[in-house]
Amino acid sequence: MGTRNEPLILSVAIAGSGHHPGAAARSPQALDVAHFRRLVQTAERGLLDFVFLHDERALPDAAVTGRLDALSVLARLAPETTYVGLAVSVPTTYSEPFNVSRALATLDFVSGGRAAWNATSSGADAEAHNFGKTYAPDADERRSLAEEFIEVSRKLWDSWEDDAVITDRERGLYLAPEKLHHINHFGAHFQIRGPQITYRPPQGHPVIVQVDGGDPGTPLSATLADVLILHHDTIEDAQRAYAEYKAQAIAARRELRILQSILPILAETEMLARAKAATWDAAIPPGASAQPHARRFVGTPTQLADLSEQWFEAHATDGFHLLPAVLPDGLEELTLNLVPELQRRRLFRRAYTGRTLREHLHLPRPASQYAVPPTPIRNTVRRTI
Amino acid sequence: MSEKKQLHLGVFLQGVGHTIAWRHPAHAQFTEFETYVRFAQTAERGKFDFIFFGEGLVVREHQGRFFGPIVNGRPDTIALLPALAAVTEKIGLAATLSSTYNAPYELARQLASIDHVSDGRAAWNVVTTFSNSAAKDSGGDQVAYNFSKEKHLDHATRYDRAREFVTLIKKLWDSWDDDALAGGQLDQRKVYPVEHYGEWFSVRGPLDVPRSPQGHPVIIQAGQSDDGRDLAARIADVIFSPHRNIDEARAFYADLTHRLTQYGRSKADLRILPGLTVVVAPTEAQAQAKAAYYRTLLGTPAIGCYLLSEQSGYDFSDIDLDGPFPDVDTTRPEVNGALLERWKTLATNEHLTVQQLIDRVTPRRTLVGSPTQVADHCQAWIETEASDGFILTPTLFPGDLDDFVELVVPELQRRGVFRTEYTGDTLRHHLGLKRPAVPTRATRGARHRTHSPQDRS
Repeated sequence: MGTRNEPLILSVAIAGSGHHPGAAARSPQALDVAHFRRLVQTAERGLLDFVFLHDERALPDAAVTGRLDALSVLARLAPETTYVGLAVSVPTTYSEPFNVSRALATLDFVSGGRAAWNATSSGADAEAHNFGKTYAPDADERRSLAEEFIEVSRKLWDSWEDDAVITDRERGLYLAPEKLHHINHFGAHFQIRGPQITYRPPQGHPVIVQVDGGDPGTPLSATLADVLILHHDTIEDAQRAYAEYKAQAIAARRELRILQSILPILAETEMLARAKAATWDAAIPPGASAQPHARRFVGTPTQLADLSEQWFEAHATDGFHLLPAVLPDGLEELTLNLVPELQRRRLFRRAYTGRTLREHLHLPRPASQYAVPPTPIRNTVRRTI
Repeated sequence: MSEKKQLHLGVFLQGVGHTIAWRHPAHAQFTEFETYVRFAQTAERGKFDFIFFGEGLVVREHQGRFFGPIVNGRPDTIALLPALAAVTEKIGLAATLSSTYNAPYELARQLASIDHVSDGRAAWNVVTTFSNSAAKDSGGDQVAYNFSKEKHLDHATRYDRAREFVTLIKKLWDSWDDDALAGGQLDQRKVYPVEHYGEWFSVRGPLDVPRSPQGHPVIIQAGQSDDGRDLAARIADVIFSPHRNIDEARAFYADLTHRLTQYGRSKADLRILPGLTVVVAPTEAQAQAKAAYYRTLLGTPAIGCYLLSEQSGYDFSDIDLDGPFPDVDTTRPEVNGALLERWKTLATNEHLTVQQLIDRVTPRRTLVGSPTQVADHCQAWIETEASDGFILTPTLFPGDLDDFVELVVPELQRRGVFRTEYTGDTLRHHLGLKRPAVPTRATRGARHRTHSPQDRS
């Protein structure tokens, strides 16, 4: 075991046909359940913490394929998996918190506590055009909206206490009225009375995963997120960001996990990996969207494990968000080669030890902000008498 | 299979409201996913056309408190249906979703996606979300308060919005040709913007989700008002109607059949399925005993008072259930005066106590009987153009659905009026509805996406 107590965290981005524009262009994506099932089940076999399915709200001009609603896809696969976390992008810019928070609560319900939410903001004008607007709001506005959206969603998840449903047949009470709460939220963007109309999610709150994709409209904050996915090219920059966010989290009395995005191009030797990267780079179609926000790594699985160990031990990160160059092959390669190497070094789990995503990530289950805390002092007094 | 007219069956799980049979010791726990799995799998074992979930966007309150005696709260159907698609193979999956509190682009992609991940089994029950001004604790404005709005839209405005919503959502579902993704590569010449600029919505499109297996998910409508019937005749594939007797149902069936012709449609394009609550047992006496026991579950004072208050807007708390109907003031603005007058007359003329009145006016109409009697009823309705089948609304869950599947379904199958096996994969197939074709190039006009190679040439 390394010097750190908790295992390294691994997640994987599964949208599209891969994250290297040259490699992905050559592998057309099947948009069906079988394709996504293969990805999610591969991730679970590899004991990964969670899969991450990105989503947007317009068909890009240069689209080479379509999309399915990410939440529908992961809800469809929840009953076919047992452990792997299911993280889904749901944008906040043109949506209703009452609807979005409810759908996420139910994703958590049908997966037995494995849901995570990437609260994105829609910066493209093409998305604005699909929601009655000419232009997307500016970055400050979108960030402020997303922040309030997350805050109000937490209130809605808390608006039913855990034990609100009592089914007391004697008294004829299905629920305990005092365990439900109006949230009475009056903010700059949303005014919501509540309560939500579904039960508190199994995890209390689905895990909130925020990603640095280079958009200033996305909130990245230790007070809002449970997991931050960052992107730094050097270990020093990563350590600095890690220390800053962890300090923020401690100040806010919250637990926070930090991951670094990485786009691995692996082969048996470093030379072969370089050749592979060169071939894919040459295949990047003209006008293809830019490289994703991720540190590119070209080398052998052992070298990637070395880097992972180094960054993890140096408190530059708690783990890695993997962006396979091609899907599904790249994910299979990572679970077959990287995962066993990390297990040998006792950095990664050999079996899931919990059932919920919060348990995998060693994140506490939040209590409802409306629950009256128990009064242990009085009990102590009673016992001494 | 015989030439006989075939019955279509759905089953509705409201989850909120008058489903107070949770007090029965054998009632399932709605807070467990396994309950919904069992519901879907039982209905599929019975070869039902579809399962169907209701929607409520506000927790019911009564006299300023959350109302404890009824089942309040339920999972979100957008996330629940894909999960149920994983544990079933053939049965249709219907969600009730509001056209008043959703955005068309968002709902279009969600429903199309559910249709994709279920291989063509999705349905949408279009509702405009009730506004019961009499139920002042849980009326429309309380829903609006959950959506950053101060007021619920009025009835006519909601239907106006719903008409445009459904028109637009169909355009979005049609914004891809069926073969736009053939070979795994998107052919941009087969994707079209919708360029919808209407009174309620401005949406450029196209959808980012490919055209779904059914073309359009099946559309269900449940409106009873003139506006509701008109909307159903224009846009619905299935109408869910609450009918008390066969004559009323026949008149409704005839009215809808006539209205369809005004929109260039025919009866072949619409299935009329009234709601039906069945209590069945091997013998009629056993069924009657079971129904009597169910009625006792309604009998707590809190529930009785709630049901009367909710329907009438009059505060019936602290009423003596064994006493006569009280001398209520029917002229107050917040009450339904006509309804209260009817109750008063009924209670006076027949010397009913409040509890007896509750038994008379609050339960859904329930068909109680042996398997033969229930099958006779179903057959009579479909053979005399009163309906094309039924949407069951079980009181006790899962017991009532189990009983129907085990006792009534085999009887209907013996009579040759209900399928013994699914003969197709999609909900449209089960319902005998055609798959809508994409618009022709001529009707689409020359509206390719502006950047597409054809436009540049």
